[in-house]
Amino acid sequence: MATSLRAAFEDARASGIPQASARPSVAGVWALGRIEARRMLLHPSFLIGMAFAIFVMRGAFGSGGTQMDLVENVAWVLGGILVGVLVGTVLTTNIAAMRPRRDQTQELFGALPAPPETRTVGVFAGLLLGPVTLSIVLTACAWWAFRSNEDIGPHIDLFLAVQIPLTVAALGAIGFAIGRWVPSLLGGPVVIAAHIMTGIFWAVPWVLPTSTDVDRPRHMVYLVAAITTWVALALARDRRTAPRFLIAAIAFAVGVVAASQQLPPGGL
Amino acid sequence: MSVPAVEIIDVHKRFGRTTALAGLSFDAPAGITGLLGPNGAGKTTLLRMAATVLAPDIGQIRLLGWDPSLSDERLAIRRRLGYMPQEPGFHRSFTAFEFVDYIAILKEMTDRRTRHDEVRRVLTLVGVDGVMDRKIKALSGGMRRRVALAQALLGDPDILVLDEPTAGLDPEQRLRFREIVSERAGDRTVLLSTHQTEDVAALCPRVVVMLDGSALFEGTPKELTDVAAGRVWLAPERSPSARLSWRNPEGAHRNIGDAPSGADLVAPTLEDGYLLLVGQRAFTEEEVA
Repeated sequence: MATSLRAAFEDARASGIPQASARPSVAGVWALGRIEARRMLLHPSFLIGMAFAIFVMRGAFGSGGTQMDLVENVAWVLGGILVGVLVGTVLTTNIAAMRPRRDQTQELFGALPAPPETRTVGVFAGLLLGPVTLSIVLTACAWWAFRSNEDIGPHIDLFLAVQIPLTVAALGAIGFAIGRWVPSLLGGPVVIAAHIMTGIFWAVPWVLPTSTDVDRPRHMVYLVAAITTWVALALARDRRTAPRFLIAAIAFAVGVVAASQQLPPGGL
Repeated sequence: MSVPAVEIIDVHKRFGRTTALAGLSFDAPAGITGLLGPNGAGKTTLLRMAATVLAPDIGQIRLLGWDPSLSDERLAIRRRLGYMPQEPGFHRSFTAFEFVDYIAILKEMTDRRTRHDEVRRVLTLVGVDGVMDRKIKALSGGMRRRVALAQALLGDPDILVLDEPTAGLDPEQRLRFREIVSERAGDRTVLLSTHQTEDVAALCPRVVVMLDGSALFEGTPKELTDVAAGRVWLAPERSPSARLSWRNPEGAHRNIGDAPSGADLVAPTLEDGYLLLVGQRAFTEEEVA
């Protein structure tokens, strides 16, 4: 209770800091992005997630299973590999969002010319340069490795390949936005648990296998809308302006419509 | 005549029912201005305003001729400002180099090579170049304060706002700090809050004593020392007319107050002047109460 009150007080004090009027500079954002990317990729929660993904891959592609098992259970294998990366991404961006509050650097940062949006966009740049780029590289490698395999090859196409980095970006954005609005280290884990436990994870999957009869463009719209919603919400924490909340609301509405229309009647 | 770099004009600030600043006014020209005062005098509130992170309720502050309440001018000030808060936060999982580099980016130093050179320069200046690759959480309190000073020195700012920079430093580090700050001062303006009267005596051509949110004294260290001229004396016992008295290492009592006739007067220090000034107000309030 006392900790929450103190956090609320510190937040109120930090939000009272008169903000700089400058726009985030592109060079500054990418410079921060490089630092954030390195920190995300080397963060223990991300490394543990990657280790889990490798563990699942070993089980799926190693001596543990036959190729037919793999083809039949492609959704499970894909999910198993991705879950480690995604959970690691949510947790690292969530921690990055809480860093200034946790380390009490808001006052120091408040006296600097760069506006708070520079740091926020810098984390998103880090997300792009780090986990998203890594997911693109891994997806490209997998696609190249299995392109001539007649059982697995047909399951990998551009639709699948594009979904993976978009999903990493979306979950990174969720982790960051939650961290900006909920001042607790439990925020990230609770979001992950809630996502799975409430069934959202199953009702509107992030990554859909190629074989499903889903409306592909609408699924892509859903992923982009999710990213936009959470990025706008994170920026709205820096400066609570009507356009930022409006963008978040519109993107959310678009996401809900796209999600509801992407699945064929009767579900997957 | 040039405009003072820092102008504080009848500034008031309240936090709930607590009055932090009550009509404070003074100017700080180029050079080092020392702020002395007991805890709760309003020093940190004033420095937070000078660092543009807090706005006054009433009154005005002008920094380098600009008004920090206007967003464009606030940005111009921040581009020329170095700030070391009383409790500087650190990203503890960063190395000293990474942290100062991160601040340098937020100070709009975007060219990588130039920025890294500048980061190395300030870390070397404060003497932490040997541990710049060590994580901040592994550094001692004194080392961390030096890292905090290093980030404030980035870009050689025109105004340096330092809130108790020598707290927690050992004597050698304090001497090094004096060397760095006095070298930087020159035609720049340094606002330095401290409880160490020796630092003020050694560094500041100008001193402001604050109490209860207002300036009790404004002048040179010599003028502050002169407040105690003829009011410090040694005696075998605590003198009844002394406002403050303590036994010195030689066993004699050093008394400060209204000296009795024939007292063994000694040369006052800046600390005597400060204690007499602050103590006098405190005693007067006590008597009124």
